[in-house]
Amino acid sequence: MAVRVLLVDDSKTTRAFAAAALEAGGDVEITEAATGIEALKLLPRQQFDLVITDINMPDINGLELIKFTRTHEDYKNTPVLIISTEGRDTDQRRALELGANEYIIKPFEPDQLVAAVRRHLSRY
Amino acid sequence: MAGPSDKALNEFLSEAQEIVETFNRNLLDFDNQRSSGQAIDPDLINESFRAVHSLKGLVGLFGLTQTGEMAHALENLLDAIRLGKLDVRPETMDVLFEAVELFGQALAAASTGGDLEPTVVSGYLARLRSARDAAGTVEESDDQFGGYQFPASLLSVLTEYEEHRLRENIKSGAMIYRVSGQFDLMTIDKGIEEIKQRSKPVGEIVTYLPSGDSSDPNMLELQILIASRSPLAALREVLDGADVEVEVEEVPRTTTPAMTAARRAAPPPPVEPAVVTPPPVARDSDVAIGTLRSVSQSVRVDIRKLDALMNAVGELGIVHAGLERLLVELVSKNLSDECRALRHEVRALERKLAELQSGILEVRMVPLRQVFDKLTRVVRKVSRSIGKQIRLEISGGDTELDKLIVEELSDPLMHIIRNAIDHGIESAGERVAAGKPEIGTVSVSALQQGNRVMVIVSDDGRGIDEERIAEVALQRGLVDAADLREMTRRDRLNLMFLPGMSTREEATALSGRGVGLDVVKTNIAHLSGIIDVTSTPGHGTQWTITLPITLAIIQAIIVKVAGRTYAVPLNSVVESLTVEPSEIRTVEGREVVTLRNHTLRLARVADIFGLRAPDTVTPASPDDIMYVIVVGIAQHRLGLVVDELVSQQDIVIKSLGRALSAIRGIAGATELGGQRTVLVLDVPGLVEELVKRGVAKEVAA
Repeated sequence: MAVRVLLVDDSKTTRAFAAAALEAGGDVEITEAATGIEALKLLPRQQFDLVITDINMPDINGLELIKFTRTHEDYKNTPVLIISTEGRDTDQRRALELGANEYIIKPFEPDQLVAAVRRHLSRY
Repeated sequence: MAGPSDKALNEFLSEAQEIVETFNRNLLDFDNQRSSGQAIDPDLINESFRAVHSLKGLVGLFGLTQTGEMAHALENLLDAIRLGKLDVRPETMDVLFEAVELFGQALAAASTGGDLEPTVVSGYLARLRSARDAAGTVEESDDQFGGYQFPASLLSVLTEYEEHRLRENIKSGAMIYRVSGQFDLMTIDKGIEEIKQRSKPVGEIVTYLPSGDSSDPNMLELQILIASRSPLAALREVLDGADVEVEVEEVPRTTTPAMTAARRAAPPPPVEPAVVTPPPVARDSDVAIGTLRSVSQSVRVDIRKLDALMNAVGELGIVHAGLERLLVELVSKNLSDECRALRHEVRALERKLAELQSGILEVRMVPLRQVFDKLTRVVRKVSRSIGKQIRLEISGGDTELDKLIVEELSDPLMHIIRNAIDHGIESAGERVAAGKPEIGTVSVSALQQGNRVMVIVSDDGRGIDEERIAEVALQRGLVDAADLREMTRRDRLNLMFLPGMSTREEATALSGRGVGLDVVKTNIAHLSGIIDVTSTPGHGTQWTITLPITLAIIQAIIVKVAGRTYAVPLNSVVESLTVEPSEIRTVEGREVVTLRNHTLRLARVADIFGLRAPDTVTPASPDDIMYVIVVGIAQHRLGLVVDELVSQQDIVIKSLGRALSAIRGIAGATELGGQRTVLVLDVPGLVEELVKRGVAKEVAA
């Protein structure tokens, strides 16, 4: 069965790139969200096996999204991967402290993303 | 990554372009607030940072390593500025604006698989470093939050920037309020937007904190931290009546140092007047509009999809025309109640169709500001680089035009403005000697007139010497002496637009190399536009570009020639007149008429398309009136002779397909209803053709 991934990034191109990489890497069903708010709306609608999110987004940022999933009964065990640009040491540290499972630095190669997802979802 | 598909590349380019535009807009606003000494909206610099940050991620994915390196350095600079670690100086603004330009170049290179040249990037990085070194760094005070003790769990979800804003607000005397409420997930966007709008006049939203322990999966408990210098009651008042009921409380401060104690004794010191007028936008309907608007900004549609939609509407129009005809027939036979009802319905359909059509047209419209913003940057850069002080006055940026036209307008407009700065505006010394203000003014304005938009560029420089232009044109054999003698001052000025004209031997770096005004003219003609120039020696020059507001659906004059029907796009029609055969003169084998003291060259449409075999020509009897449609492309005028003017109506031009695309003088076809397909004349093409054959030279009007 396909693994279900929620992909959150305000850049459509980045989402398309990540989605293409994941689709080429295995059986996956991707739901895209352009903002943190959209992600919050999508989370209760269906069961996701993994969440991939950017940090710098308007309104609800990626850190808040991680915190939200970590404290929510339904999502606290869902792996969360961060894709964001380097150079934001503080934000990277905070993301990991909040319970993000892995931090992937943009730009990334398709293989890197696929490998990261496999590390946290063995059936992908 | 492996070579991206065209589709991916296009999407990348359009997203990147949009980001660069946002970046530019924020910089301009920021620069404006800075130089006018206004309070600076921290969002502007944060949005600039976010734009560059996103761009960096994007160009990285597409393997533009040079551009990525540049974006990276720029991101760091903006980060330091938004976190208050770096002062902003004019030099800082220079490198920021230069970045906008380089990003533009990078995207142009990326569209053909390239990237910025390493030398360009390293040069830029050096300038960026020295600008950064020149600016003073600001010591970030590490004081704790002025008596606030935020729990670690709160601080851990703040991005570095949010934490900085929290500190800054507290430092400037703001109180921190916690606004919390239960948001329905279905409408949370609207709910958040409303809180934003309502609280904006009194404070700044620092962060949103969604809580994970809501019992209802459809509801979300959200806490919003707002920094404000207004008292609690004021914030409560503006938030009262919002769709989502929220609780507002002040985050308590702990009694630690003396400072806090003092604050307690004399209640909050730098508080604004106690009564805060509720924001004018706080009505429900207004808030809803605000929300809609922000949604529509995020919709990006390929213009070709809109073209397809437009075509469908055009076809619907034909169906409507068919219905209308049937209705007329029906009504002529019997006028039953059903007929009346049907007529009523057909009228309603007609109104809705018109609404639909104007709706689609509106979607295609974008404000000219998109181009004007770029101009500001160029003028700023050019005037700094050549040491001429220029003031750019812009008005009418809200005027809207079809997206395609706005895109294509940017190059010609840029060229004219560079030309004005380079050749038009005199040096400061020269200006003072002539009794003019030292600073030269270039103004760009736009206004809509019916279905056309006029863009006017004028300068208060030295003006253009039309005699010098005439001389050069003569030397280069572009006109002969006899032509020149007949020409008015304006005609001579317009000789500038001929290919092969350039009154300066060596092009300067400013006006570009090898691109002359003839290209400007051609570009504008492709948009069915007209350019005209007037100049007063010693006082300045004025360029007027007249454009149709859209090319997707156009008004046309339907004409008949030799029993066939043609459509002439109205946007190239200057006027139509009737001419008696006796008024026509023949000059050097060409038919002309005199129109308001100008010689107007005529072209018979029947001859152009070879519609009448010589033996069928009926010699015109003296009282046969002829119809002449005067068309204008750029500065050329030509009179098209037709047999009959039928009507004027909206048409959607359809391409003839590749096989027939090479047919001279035909721009496409359109349907007029009743399955009648008629050809649309390609006026720019026809004029061009006749100009090449040298017959329109003397009709310059």
